Amino acid sequence: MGDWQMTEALPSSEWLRLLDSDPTAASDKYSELCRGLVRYFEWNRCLEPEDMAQETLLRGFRRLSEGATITVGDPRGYFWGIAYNVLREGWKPQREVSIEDRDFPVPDSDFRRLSRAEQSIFLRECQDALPAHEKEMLIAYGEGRGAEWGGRNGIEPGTLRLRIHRVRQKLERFATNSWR
Amino acid sequence: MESSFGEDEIIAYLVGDLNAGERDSLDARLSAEPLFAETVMAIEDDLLAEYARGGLSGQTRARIEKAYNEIPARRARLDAAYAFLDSIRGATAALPRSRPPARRAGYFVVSMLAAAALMLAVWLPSRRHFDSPHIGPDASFELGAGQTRSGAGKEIVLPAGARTIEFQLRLENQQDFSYWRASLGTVEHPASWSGPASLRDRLVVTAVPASVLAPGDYTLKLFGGDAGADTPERATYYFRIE
Repeated sequence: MGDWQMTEALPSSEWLRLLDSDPTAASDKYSELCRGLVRYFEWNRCLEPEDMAQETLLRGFRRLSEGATITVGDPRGYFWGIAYNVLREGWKPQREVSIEDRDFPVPDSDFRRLSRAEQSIFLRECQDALPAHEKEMLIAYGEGRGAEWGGRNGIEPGTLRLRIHRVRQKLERFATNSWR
Repeated sequence: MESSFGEDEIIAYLVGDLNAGERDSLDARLSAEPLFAETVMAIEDDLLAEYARGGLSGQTRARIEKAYNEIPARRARLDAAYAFLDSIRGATAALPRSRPPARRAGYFVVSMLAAAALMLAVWLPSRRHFDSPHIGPDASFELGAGQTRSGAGKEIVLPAGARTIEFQLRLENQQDFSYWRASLGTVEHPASWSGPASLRDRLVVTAVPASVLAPGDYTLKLFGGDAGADTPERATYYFRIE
């Protein structure tokens, strides 16, 4: 069904097109959606959040391929709605991994299984790829000077937190790719 | 129904303190507004980074420890916060130190004085080592596992102005785990600080901010395990700060 490749860690372009017609935007949306879904199941204390995220993706894409239409403005909202149902119905993963499950890989899941020291090394190496202002922001944040740095640069605490989150997501994406 | 959730409610959601109705309402908002999920993720990242940095109140730290030790995926999320901060510290340490601006003549005089001081230090026969710039802990103490506060427990006097205290923790048996973490507590605040630790020779070393070491009796618990596995408690150390 899918043409997922290990190096890309993404489902086939046929699926991704359902999220966005632009391939790059679609893969970004997929990665962000996966990360969000995994966290959602973590927040709800699910023992196997990645399996539940995969089940959500599988159901969503399957329904879309069967002709379901997305009625919400943001296609990701459609998947979040399915996740909400997967959680409420108490879905439990099967022990066997189906071919379909492998069609919807969860980015970063393998990276998170590395030891803390290994993760740190990959993340550190990837920081060189960041623009200077992002690196400066990151260092200030890491040293506990984030609020001070934000104040000097006219950035509100909430905005700074969101920017740090996005930079970190980017770093983890770089690190996952370099590790693979 | 549109629900509004502030940072406090989101943190309560993350640590499991919301009631079922509020929780359901927040879950519903996540599905209605996917961008809200990014806000929750950013707040979680920030909360865990602050935890890994040794900040937050003892009560909040205890709530986080309880919530994030429940399932392996959440524990891994907490570990990732440590890895993230470690990576920034590593990058900072690797940066070339910039020299503060100085006038040429002044800089020359200072350089000459520094060179003279360095030569003196080398030639003085009684001098055993130089004073190095402050990059490491201000003091180190070796602790043995299971020593009680009374009797054999270590009594420690912190040097004035100390910022970081290193504890070198002896292990009873050789334990080569890839992941170590230490948690400091008192009777009143069982989890007042938690931070990374690492194996150095046969000792596990952890650096504790001196600001959390007020005079009193302390318990330092050491947790160890392999990546992706449980990290049970491996040893307990007792000491008193005078």
